[in-house]
Amino acid sequence: MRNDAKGIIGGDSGLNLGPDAVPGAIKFNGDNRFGDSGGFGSGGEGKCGGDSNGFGGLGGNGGFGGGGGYFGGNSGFGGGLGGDDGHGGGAGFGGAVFTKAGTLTFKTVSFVNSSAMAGVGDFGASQGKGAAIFICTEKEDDSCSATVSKDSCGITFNDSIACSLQPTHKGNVSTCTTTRNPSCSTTLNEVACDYTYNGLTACHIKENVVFCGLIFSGSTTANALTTDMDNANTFNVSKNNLSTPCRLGSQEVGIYNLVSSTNQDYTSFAKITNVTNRSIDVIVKLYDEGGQMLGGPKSYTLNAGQTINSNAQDLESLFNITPWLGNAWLQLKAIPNSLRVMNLLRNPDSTLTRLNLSSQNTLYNIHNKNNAYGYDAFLMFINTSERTLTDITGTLYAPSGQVVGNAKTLLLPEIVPKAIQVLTSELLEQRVGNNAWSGRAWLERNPPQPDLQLINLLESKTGTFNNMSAVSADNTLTIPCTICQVALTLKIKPSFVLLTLPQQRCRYAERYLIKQDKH
Amino acid sequence: MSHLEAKFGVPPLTGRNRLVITSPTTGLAVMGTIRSPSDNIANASVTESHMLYYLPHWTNTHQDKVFVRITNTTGQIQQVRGTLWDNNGHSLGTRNAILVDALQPYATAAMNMQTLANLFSITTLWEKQARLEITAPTTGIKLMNMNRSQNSAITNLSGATSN
Repeated sequence: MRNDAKGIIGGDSGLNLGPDAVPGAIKFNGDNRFGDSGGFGSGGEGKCGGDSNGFGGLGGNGGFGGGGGYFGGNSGFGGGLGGDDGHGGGAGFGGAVFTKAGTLTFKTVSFVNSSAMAGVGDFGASQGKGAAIFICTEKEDDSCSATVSKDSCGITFNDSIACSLQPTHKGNVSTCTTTRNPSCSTTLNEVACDYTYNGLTACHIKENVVFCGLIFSGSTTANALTTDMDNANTFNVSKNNLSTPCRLGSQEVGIYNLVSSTNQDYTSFAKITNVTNRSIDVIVKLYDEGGQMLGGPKSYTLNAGQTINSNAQDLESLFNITPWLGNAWLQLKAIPNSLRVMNLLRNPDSTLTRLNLSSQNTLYNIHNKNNAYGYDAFLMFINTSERTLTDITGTLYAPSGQVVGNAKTLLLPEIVPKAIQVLTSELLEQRVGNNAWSGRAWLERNPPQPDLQLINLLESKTGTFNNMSAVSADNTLTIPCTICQVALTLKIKPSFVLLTLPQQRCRYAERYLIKQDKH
Repeated sequence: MSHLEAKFGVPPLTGRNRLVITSPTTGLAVMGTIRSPSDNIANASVTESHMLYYLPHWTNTHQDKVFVRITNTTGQIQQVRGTLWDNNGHSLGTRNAILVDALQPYATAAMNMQTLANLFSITTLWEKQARLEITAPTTGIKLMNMNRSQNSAITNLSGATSN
């Protein structure tokens, strides 16, 4: 027996299984012998020729997808017929995904330029079936039992080709007849953007799986994703085993300020809402300040419109961990634009504050260490990536527009993956190499790094933390009291015009800080 | 505030007001902050356009007093409708209820949780925090989710983060 190099089922090079990994691929070189029937995915072959005086044995029958052997061996499903003087080519199934067993759920998955290429045999045409996906059911073979979940949605196909090859026997030039999939469109407003699956690495699936937010691009039967094949070199993906290269989530968001249940002064909450009209799967991971994952990845389903409020005890229970030290942060993954999250903090004086909202390149309203109100500023730097970020630099600007200290100062030498580092205003002053600035400074990161999130937290004398990171999205401000104290700072190139603060005349002092970006 | 009044040549402002920077249209970052009597300073810069997420009933444990502010940023009168959702994704009271029948151009309507419950014809207290979705109009509305804590500190709870 041998495996037909091209007609092997579904393709396997993504896993590097190699031909022998296919069940039933029995090596059987048949000098003067009869070929056995091929196993699943194997072509039947009886070796033609033998010794100089002998005559080759009869070809075996092809296994599922395999071509027939010499001297008229029967082909398997889709395989080319064998003949008196040649064997048939093996079939090509499932350019991107071949499934033999289990239930697959596809959510927001794109198949682009997928092709199922049949193998070239010496005799008998073979077939390519399932240009992008081939689901092997009992109808095709008794050993198959694969299904696709009715919950699948958001699948797109573009220019997929199932290619059947004619035999090359007797010098005929092979021809390729193509059948293009009908153009399918998504049924839901989803975007496949999470992961491009170009055949470099593939997954071996044995269990029921949800594919979410993947793109299969240019997959062929030679570099596709194959399921349900036992092999020591494979890995499994399931909803309970998420530490694989296949990412089930598609877009992530972080909640960066979470204290543990042992903190007596503060209580933090992660408020997570599914804003879609259907249930979604959410994958969560919890990291400590040093970037260490606490517990393992967890997943849960949020129903349409559902909100969950998790405090520290809830998180410790979910991740089955003891209370952590310092801060922790929660990473959530789900289909794009499906979640809205809030990071709430109940402070010692009962004030409720919202600490989410971060920036990638600028922080405003940074108080110096000697400010009159006794505020303490904390600049948080969160590395959300899987790699160490180095040479974190930034430029600090005074209200006058002048650079404080040195431009492009090295703020942090490095931040390891998933870690949080904090600069106080005092440390910031040390970094920029100048005395304390007056008024409120602002920090510009250069160059910005998408994997680095910045937050400016301000702690009042009563210990209440507020997030100063956000600015108005549309240059408007609401003034929520009648007669208020206002500071209006307009940065007009090349410097600021500072309007003097009037005396406070109402309960709430208000301040408007209007800064012009450098650019 | 007196500087703004002088700039615009108006008498002392009453109620809440809204400042729109008309020029330049790019290159500015605008921040508004509120300092409470306890010297707590809150960032009041963030608004929402569609939903508010922290709306506890008025007898909540922490005695938070939450207010919703709805601003019409267009030059046309708007009828504002909405739906209130509980934590399980079920609607509370009347769906697509009229919140403001005729919100004047550039006007703001403010309402506390009792008013909101009345607008949705809700007679029982809801658990934890409800979520308000503005169903109409779909554009031109700005929302704020303000909270006055027990110690009178005002904080802005608008601004959820999206994935």
